[in-house]
Amino acid sequence: MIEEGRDPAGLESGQLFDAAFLAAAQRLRLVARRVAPRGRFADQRSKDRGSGLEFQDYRPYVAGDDLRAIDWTVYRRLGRVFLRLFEEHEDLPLYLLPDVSRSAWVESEPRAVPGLQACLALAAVALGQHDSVGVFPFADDLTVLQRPTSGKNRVMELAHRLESVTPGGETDLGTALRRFRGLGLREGLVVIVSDFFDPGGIEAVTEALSGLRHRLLLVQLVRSSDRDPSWARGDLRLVDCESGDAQDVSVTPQVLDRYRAAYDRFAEGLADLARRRGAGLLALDVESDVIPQVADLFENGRREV
Amino acid sequence: MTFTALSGTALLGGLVATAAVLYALQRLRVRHESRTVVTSLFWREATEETRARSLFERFRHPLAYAMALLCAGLMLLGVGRLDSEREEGLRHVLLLDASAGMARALGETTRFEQAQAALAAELEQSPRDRTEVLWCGEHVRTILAPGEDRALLGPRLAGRTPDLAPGTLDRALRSRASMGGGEGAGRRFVLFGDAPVPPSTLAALGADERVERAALDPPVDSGVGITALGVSEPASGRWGVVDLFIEDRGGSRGFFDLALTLDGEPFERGGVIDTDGDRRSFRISDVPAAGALLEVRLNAAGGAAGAGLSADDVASIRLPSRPPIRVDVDGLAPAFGDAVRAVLTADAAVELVEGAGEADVVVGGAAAGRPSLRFPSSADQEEAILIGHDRAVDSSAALASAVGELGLDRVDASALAESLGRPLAVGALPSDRRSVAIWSELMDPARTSFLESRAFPVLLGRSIRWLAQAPGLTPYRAIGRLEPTTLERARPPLAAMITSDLEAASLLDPTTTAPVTAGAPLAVPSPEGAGPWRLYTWVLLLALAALSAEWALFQRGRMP
Repeated sequence: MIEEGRDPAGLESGQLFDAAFLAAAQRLRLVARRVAPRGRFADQRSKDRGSGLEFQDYRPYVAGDDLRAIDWTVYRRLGRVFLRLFEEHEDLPLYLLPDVSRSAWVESEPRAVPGLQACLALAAVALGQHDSVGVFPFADDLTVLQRPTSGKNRVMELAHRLESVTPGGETDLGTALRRFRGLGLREGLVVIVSDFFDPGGIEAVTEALSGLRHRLLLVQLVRSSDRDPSWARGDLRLVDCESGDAQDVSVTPQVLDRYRAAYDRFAEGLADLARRRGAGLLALDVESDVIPQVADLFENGRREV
Repeated sequence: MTFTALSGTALLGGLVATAAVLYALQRLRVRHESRTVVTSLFWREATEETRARSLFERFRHPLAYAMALLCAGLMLLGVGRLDSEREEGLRHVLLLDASAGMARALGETTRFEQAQAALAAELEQSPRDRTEVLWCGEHVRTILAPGEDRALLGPRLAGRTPDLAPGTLDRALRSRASMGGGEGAGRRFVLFGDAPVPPSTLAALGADERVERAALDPPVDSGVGITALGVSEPASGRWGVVDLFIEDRGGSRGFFDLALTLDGEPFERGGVIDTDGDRRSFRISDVPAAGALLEVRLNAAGGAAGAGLSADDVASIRLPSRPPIRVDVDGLAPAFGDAVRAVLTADAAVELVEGAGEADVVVGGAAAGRPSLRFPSSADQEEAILIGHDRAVDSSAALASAVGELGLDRVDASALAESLGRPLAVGALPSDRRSVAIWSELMDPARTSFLESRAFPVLLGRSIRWLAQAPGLTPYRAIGRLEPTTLERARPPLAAMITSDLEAASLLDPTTTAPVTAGAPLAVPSPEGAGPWRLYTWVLLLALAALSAEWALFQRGRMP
């Protein structure tokens, strides 16, 4: 429900975070199939070969290699010197991109709050397993709220930073992601938490995500009234909260049917995009508890990305 | 089916106008309620492309239009008071009795107000374009013509009180019956009042016409009022006085009494001379006939007189003025001069004067400019008795009248003719002044015995009165009864001042003032359709149901 004339405000202190929330988040574990090389030592399997514990391969010895890595058993059998290669464990950079555009704030129960709570939950999971977390709120542009950082004790700090988020303007995912790509960050997991109500439709979302070289998790903030606007009846002038565009609508059952069809096409387009990108997609009901829904992402407490 | 508030044309026009207005409203761009949404993305896809702003938009909601038209049409039918007509095409004539008797007070209201209320109720049920309302007071007038809005009736009746006149209900009924009903399925007359309708009037109605009488509260029989007042020749035979006659109705019950004033001074009412049922008659003898105004008032012992109707509680009459007739006797033959003089002297109405200049009548000789009684010789006049009458009167009529007025019928003409040995003739001639000429031979005691007959003083006295044009008396004015001397006016105007120098009476017709319900019993208007559940009530309820259905559909998003 949108209160007419409501001026979007930010969050109050403590609105995002409490101990139970954090405890619930810490039971989850985010596991990467393989993180990008040149990362910081951590728990995620890496494409790097190094001094990890898990054997990965052999390679011929070259001058300068660490003598401790020579497999002497192979040398005795074959008479040739090979080095044992071990899998390097590094961190998974987690880039949280919460949507703080105006549409996330104008409702009486802003969907920005559960969105940020989802970000915090994911951040808590990542920080708990020594991964680095960066937060980049976006609306019509991207801002850097928190550069990638790690450490379990960063959760509170991150929560306070998230609480300082202020409402932005119109949603422009394309511009925001271009700006994000320009940051030159190491490949990691990008989590976009948004309603994805880009004025350009699903096509604009698809185009914006097409150039993103990260693993992707889409958290779609949904509300039941998004698909079934029961409040809509009669002759309405619907004003877009972001663009201010007015749309005169005489609500009839046929119009409502067409509306639902349009919404379904949008949702299916987003799901199809996630499938094509091999990305995860979580439709987060902003009217329900966040943690149980986020936990659904993690089968047996794990989520492989 | 009929419309009691709107004509069929007005209703049809209203429906067409309503349909046109609704159509125009449907085409007008609606004023949308502004709502802020998270995104208009899907709405934009759901609706067609936004067209350029224009005054009209496509007619997009035919079913909504039909629903609105149904609601408006039903409401219009309700406002037009669609009703099931009791008889198709019947014309309704509502007659409001505005006679004096309707002024009778009944507690806080009057009989007339009761009739008005009943009329208004009946009017509500009658088709507007085939209903007329007639005022039946002193005159019959149309106060609401067919097709006129019934709301006009109230202002037209505001402040009106019944006329102090007899009812014209019967006359109006006869008049309308004689005019015919024209095209249609007959007529229905509804009477609002107590005036009787004679069976003859009902018989004069056509086969497709009928009369009903609105049911009012049972009339309270006031039955008290003055019904007759008049003067008569005095029983004492004296000149210059009259006897008064008064009759009232209902006064015998003991609660009412008559009070008389003569030129404002109290006057003794005299005694009751007759009682007939609830009627009492009074006679007051030898009241001086000097032109005074006698007023008779019926007073109640307890206060209000007349038991509700005050109009017949007072009556007045101007008493005649009868001064002595001054007669100059001159130039009479000695043979009958003394006899004539002796008769005139004995007549109380005659005052003998000397000189024709002061006389009203000259006896014996002719005086220019004065009525005269002459006695010419038979050689000078062919007729034995020749009357000079006013030129305005036909001679034969004057002669016929004079036979009685002059007492000629009492003269034994045969004996006189035999005595004179020649036939006697009576003639009349127009003249500037009245005159009576009698053969002197007829008066000669040596030739006839006329001077010794009883007809002589009668002829002489009446001739003097006729010559002096002494006004006759109307013995009494008893409203509703024949006047003895003016047969042609069988029913004089009631409650009207009789514009005579001599008399002024103000009496009401007992048949008007009394709550008479004579005549054939009349049907009472059928209460069919009365009460709150009239057809148009159902129509309005249907309109309400349609509106509710429209609202429900709107609430469920099935109606734009």
